[in-house]
Amino acid sequence: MNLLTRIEEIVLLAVYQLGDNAYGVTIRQYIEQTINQKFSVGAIYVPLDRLTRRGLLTSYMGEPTPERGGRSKRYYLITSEGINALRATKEMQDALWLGFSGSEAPQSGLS
Amino acid sequence: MPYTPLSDLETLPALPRLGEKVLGFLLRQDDREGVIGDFAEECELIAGRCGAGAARRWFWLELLRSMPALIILSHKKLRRNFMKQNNIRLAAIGIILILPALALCVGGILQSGFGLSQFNEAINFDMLFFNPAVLIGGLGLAVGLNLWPVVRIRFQDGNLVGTVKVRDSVANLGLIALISLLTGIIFLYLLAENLQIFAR
Repeated sequence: MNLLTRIEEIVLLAVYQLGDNAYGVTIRQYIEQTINQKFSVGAIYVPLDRLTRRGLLTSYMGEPTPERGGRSKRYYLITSEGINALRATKEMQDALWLGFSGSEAPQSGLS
Repeated sequence: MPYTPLSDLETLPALPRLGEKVLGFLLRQDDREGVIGDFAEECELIAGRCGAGAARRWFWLELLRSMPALIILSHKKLRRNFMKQNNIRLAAIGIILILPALALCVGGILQSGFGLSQFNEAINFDMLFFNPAVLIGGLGLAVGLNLWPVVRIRFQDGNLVGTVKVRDSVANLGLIALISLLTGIIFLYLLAENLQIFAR
């Protein structure tokens, strides 16, 4: 399985956490509130497109709403492959971060 | 879900018309509804909190910030849609574009390697077919057309990362290899001519 880039991981996690309410605006707001990182409206769609192409997300159009000028929302849902990708990423990161104490680096990690 | 368009009374003018047109131009059909709707929704939120002027300012700034990403998104989709059907077509166009260089190389090899001089005498660089601009232009265009679907360069975590797509790109990669070979042969031939290696 190809590794997730950092932005893909962040967006995928945001979609996972938002459940049925994951679309452009809510994904941006969730990321900003959670990690204090601002993405432009357009920038969020590049990783969403990439993740959809890889089969880690699916999307569908919702109902139009007045606050969007009568336009529909494009909702995103995480797939089982997406959840597997997140699980693999977390396992990899847990393995890499193991032993990190925040103090000085160990003398040598190689034997 | 079935799409039910709202009546005019239920739609609100949320975005500047010019801005909406710019977005419509930048975005592909399947992205317009979602992205423009996101801009409209956020404008409405800001207008409710800080007024219409602030919302308009936010919109134009956000549009400028979003433009590179939206252009990249549209370009990627355009390339994907184009490439699904046209990898072979691009390779075929490339072969046509390199025909003069191919003819020159084959003739040159026959002449230099086997002493067949008819082709060499027939070459007249005033002919359009063997004009250096046509040769080099054809090779350049062909390699550009076939590199476009194969090579991807992007920013990743602050680094420039390049990848070469191999699956479904055999024709394009084969043509790029052929162009490299032809360019090498032409270069060696010119070098040999200048150094008079084949002089008798």
